[in-house]
Amino acid sequence: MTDIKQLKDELKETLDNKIVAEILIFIGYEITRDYKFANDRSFSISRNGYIKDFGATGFAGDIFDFIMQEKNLPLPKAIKFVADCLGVKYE
Amino acid sequence: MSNLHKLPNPLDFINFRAELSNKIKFDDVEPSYDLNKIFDSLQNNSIPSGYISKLFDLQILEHNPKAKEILKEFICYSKIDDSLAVILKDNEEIKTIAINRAKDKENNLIKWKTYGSKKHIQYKIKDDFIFIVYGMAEIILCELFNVSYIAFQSDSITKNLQNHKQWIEEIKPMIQDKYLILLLDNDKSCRETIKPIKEELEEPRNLIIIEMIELLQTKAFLSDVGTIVSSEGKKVWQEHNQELLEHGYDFRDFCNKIKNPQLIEEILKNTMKGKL
Repeated sequence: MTDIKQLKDELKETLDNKIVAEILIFIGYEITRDYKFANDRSFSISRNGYIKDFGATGFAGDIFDFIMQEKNLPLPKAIKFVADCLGVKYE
Repeated sequence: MSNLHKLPNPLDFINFRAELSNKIKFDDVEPSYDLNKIFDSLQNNSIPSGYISKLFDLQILEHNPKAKEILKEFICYSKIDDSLAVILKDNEEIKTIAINRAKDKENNLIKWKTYGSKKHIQYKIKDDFIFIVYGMAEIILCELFNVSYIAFQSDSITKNLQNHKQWIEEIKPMIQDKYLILLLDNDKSCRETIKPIKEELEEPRNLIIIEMIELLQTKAFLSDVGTIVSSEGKKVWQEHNQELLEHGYDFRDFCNKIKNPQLIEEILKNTMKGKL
């Protein structure tokens, strides 16, 4: 069995703003070249891939938190989705 | 923001990403620090007495004519963090500066705080036997022992080698006809690097896996033949001592335990012979 926390930690080390932006576009969001959400520019992606809303929702979290919340998925599924996208293998 | 659609098939991401790169060029975000300036600020600091021994037992360095040169090339001292720092370069370009023991804003200890690339793979390939090691200190040990090596800064880098530019373009083509000797840390995440590395080889048989317990067993065998001559005896010894071995015990721990560089080399050679 995969240690899901370990997988998450490993993935986090490989994530940066560009990869997170690409994943977000892949799952249906529009991201501008300066790493902001096109429909709500208060949402932005920092250099280490952390997503933060400086506006109304106050969301702050990583790509896993974001997918979990936005796609209504349990955390392990969100982590495995990102791992699958990046070709990171787990058992 | 809520968007409760199904997620796409993640296997499509690679192609999607390739197509996306033709449509959008994301801004390069400059790091908030200048790696060269950090290096300049470190390189003239003298290393306080007793600090090198925090990384290695000094006996490992004794009588090594290249030790001074290697330490000068790879190790600096950070006054701000009061810590040794390991510098990784690609030719003369600074790729990574890793502070051994830094502090965050809340004064919590950060082991190997890294500036620059965490993904940079340090390597030196000069013969057919290449040690695969994990961690910053192991790089310096490989330099001291003057062996071919590929050093991953962390286990996680191996999980995505198929997308690692330096690995694909520089390293992978050089290793296909070589033996790779994995010096595994005593933990699960390090053992999980075996599979992805194996998958990168045309000849997976050329992979030699060495656990720290096996090095310790060779040491025991060399110094006390009487206790473990039979294969059954070896098995019993290994099972018993594996349980006692500290989680995360690594090659640096082993070298610091043995201390004598000639004996370390002998143990490595004997362990490898038993595997070939």
